[in-house]
Amino acid sequence: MPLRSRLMKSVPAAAIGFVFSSSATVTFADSGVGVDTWRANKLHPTAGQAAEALDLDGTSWLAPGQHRSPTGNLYDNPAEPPHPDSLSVWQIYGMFELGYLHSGDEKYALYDRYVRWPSNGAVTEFAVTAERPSDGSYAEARGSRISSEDQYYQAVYGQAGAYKIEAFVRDVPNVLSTDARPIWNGVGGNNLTLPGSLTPGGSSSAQVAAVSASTPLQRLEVDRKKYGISLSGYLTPAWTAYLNVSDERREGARPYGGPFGEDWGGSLGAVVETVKPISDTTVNLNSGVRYAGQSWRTDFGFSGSFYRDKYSSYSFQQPFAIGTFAPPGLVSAPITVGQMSMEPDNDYYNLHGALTRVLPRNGELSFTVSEVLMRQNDSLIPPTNCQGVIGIGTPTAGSTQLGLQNLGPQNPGLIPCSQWNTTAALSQRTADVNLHNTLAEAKLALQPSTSLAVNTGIKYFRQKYDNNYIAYNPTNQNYGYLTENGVFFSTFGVPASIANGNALNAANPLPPVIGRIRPFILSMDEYNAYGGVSWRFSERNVLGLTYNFDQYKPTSRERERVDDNSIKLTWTEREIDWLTFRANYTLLKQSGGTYNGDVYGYTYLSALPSFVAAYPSYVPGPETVDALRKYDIADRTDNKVDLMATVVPREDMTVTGTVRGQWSENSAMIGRQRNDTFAATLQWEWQPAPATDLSVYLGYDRSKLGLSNVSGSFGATSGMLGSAGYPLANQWWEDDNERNYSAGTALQKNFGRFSVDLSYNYLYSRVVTSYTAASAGALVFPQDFATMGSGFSPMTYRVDSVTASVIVPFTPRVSLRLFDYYERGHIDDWHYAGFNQSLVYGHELYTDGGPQSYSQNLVGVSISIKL
Amino acid sequence: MAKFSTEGLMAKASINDTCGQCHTDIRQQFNRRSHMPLPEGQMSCDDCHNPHGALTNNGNPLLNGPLLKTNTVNETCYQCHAEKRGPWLWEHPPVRESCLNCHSPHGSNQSSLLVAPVPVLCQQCHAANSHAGALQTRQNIGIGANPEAQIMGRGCLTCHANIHGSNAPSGPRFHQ
Repeated sequence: MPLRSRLMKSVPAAAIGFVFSSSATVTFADSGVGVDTWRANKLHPTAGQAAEALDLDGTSWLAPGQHRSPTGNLYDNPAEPPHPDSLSVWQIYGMFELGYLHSGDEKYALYDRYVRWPSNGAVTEFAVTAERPSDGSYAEARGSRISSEDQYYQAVYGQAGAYKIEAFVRDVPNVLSTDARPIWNGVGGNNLTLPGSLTPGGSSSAQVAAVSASTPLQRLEVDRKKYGISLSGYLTPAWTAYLNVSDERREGARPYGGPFGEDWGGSLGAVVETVKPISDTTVNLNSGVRYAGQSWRTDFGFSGSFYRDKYSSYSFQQPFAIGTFAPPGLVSAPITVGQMSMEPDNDYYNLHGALTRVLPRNGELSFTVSEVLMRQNDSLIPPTNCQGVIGIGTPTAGSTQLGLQNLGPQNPGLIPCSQWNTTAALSQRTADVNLHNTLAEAKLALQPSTSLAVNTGIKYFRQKYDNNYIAYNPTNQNYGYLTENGVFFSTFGVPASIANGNALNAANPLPPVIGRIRPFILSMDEYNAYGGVSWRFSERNVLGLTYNFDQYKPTSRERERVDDNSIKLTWTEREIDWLTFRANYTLLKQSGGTYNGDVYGYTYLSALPSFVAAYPSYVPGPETVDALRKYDIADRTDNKVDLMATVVPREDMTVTGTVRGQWSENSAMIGRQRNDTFAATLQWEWQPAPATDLSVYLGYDRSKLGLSNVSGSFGATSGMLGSAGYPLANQWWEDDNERNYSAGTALQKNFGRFSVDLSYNYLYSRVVTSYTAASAGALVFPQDFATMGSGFSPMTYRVDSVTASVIVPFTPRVSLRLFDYYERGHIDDWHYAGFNQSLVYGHELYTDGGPQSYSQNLVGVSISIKL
Repeated sequence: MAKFSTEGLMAKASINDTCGQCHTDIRQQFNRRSHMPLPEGQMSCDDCHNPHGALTNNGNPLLNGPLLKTNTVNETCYQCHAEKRGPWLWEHPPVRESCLNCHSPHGSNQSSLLVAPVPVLCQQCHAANSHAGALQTRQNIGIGANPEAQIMGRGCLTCHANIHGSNAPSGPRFHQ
């Protein structure tokens, strides 16, 4: 079967795996609640199933030939039934496998993304099941270890139809970069310091580049380790209860950002890609009771999730000597350090209940209510972590450096960091942000006749957002904050985003900068209603029609009301023996209230009552160009088609084809204008005999995203497209075209004395981003207009992988497995063009060299012993 | 009864293979450069979707993905990405609305499951009268005539790093 895990760039589980068979269900979470529904790894994505010895009788217990699902897909060849040994009243079976892997020393992020191959090392796999037929008790344990950072183990004990207790532990690596050159000391912690060869705030680009080039390559990754335990069982034949708790810990580091303005003119401002430490825990809890009776069904549950971050922020020294626009004679205080806030500790509570009444003629009436609270009240960090002074001024005679001694009326552009680098500079010490969601839904399903079914429902969803923060410094009565680690003070000598509240007086001029001081309020209401009918016009032919209306009413967006009207037509045909055909078509039209791009004024200084009183005639400048339409709420028309056919050309063969397309058109002059996707797949599978399977697949998909934008002038007084601030001559257009080609084949065959598993997979992705512009004024650098070309070089990603394994049974209990897995990947991403030469460009310092091409081979051998 | 899967009595060897019988194009998306660890066997389709029925089968497609196991798209994502949950001191509205505004959960040809390359992604919505609305070209990448931070490496996100939201008092523009 082409789309089994062996085709997904993974080593076939047949290569190294285990024989495992159990009647117990060991999934941690059920399909309705929670995650952790599957535990496996890249070596065994099917958790060992694909490696099991196949039953040579196939699925032909009573009737010969291959068997299929009701929709026509061939079932896999089943595994051999277990041959348990008896131990007292227990039946025990299982398997232990020990192997050796060689994968080489070179590491590549794309190849090693979610796996920790050992360069050379042992791998183990085991699975043991014990069953007590007299009362249906069972116990299972299984696990797999690729390396100490990539392993999982789980155990379950229970009694069929009574209860089940499960526990697990797992490691999941996530490699983000294998060619990073972080120049700082302390990577992985929350205080990044420069090496002694660099002066914070005083180094040249050449000096920084030299240090970057000499920094050894480093791998940046985040590893997840998760523990979980669950309990579920029958309280009575109709009542069940469940409880599961998990604790996940993440540790590692990842590339991140660090702004100090922009690299204006190559020396003013700086941009640094720092390394963010990751050290956090998430405790998840799901619990509930369910009742399933003849007439009534209920489901009540509580879910909780509690996130805790070790760090509230991390600091990093800034290496570059940032210049200033200040007049001659004035100098700027060096910017030596920056800070980045981390994810805040937060809590999630969800209480939900559902009640269903069974109605005559296969009908159901159900009600669902859910209350969710997301809360965050973490301690806030100070607005800055700068030390000394910040801004521009005249140093003391004979000195070239500014310091505390230079503070005073003679240097109005110089302020002490102590006014802002303390929590006393905050209007409140904790965040106190809450999100309260309420959901209520009613559904009715009726089947008036054997050929007609009707279903309808209504839903209300409300999100209430509470956040009363205001950026106000009580120690100096300033509104605002220090933008980008204070660089605007030092580069421009203006207190960007800061206004003195005491100076808001009609007698005083307008503050130089009128910025945001309050958060967005993101409450919303959603109303939904739908109605549908399905008509079985012949025994195995069903037509369906559903109308859906959805109204989304955000409190703080460009539209007060967004309406979605959609109709969906469906057809399922199984009348013809050799064909299952499904077709869906959906038409969706999004419209709504008047679109107004300038709705965020309430967050600005100019909305303060004291400001309004002082400057009643003030008219704020445009938020953005008036023709911009944000695609999520703008008028839009979507057409979506899904076609799927499963054909049975012969008893042992299946051909499946799918076509999916979505064409989305936005009525926007500025913003996203269209987003079209199309995909087609063809899949062929042949099972000529039990324990023999050959499959081939092909896939093609494309997408096109188109947008337009306009380069505005700083300080525009009008947001009208075509005005001086947003001239039509500055308009530009961009298309992002993507193509993906997939193919693969797999063969699994038992030759009696040995069995073989072979597969090949291929993927080629090509992304072409092209653009046009009305004039040079559209560009960041107008001087590039003549040489800008028509687009970026293609962004490509190509992966080939070949897997081969041979299993040789020596005895009924002992077998030898040999396997090889070869994968090569080639990637070109223009975001990282030139990074292999240098990671420093003026005052821009990068850490991550970008994704790398690779060619890797993995060989292994193992001994498998059935218990 | 034949056993085709280690767990769950599936019709194929795993949950993902079972879903992949019909949802072949979705399954192939997981092969792309940027994907969650489903092909590697570290998660399954069932971690996000409930094939037996769910609350979120109707409504605004950005807010309500098909057959999700929670009330909204975002709550589904928060099950594994609780660090993104907030709520934040300074919110980025499209993030609070739906993770799908920027991310393609089944796989992407961009980094971090983004639906479009940076800065194209951001410039669909940002056209303010400063650097946000200007066209970046091939001359602005690392080997171009005028390398520009807004398009190199992480692009906009090198400066606006806390793009999911910021808890910094100086973070209204997600710089800190």
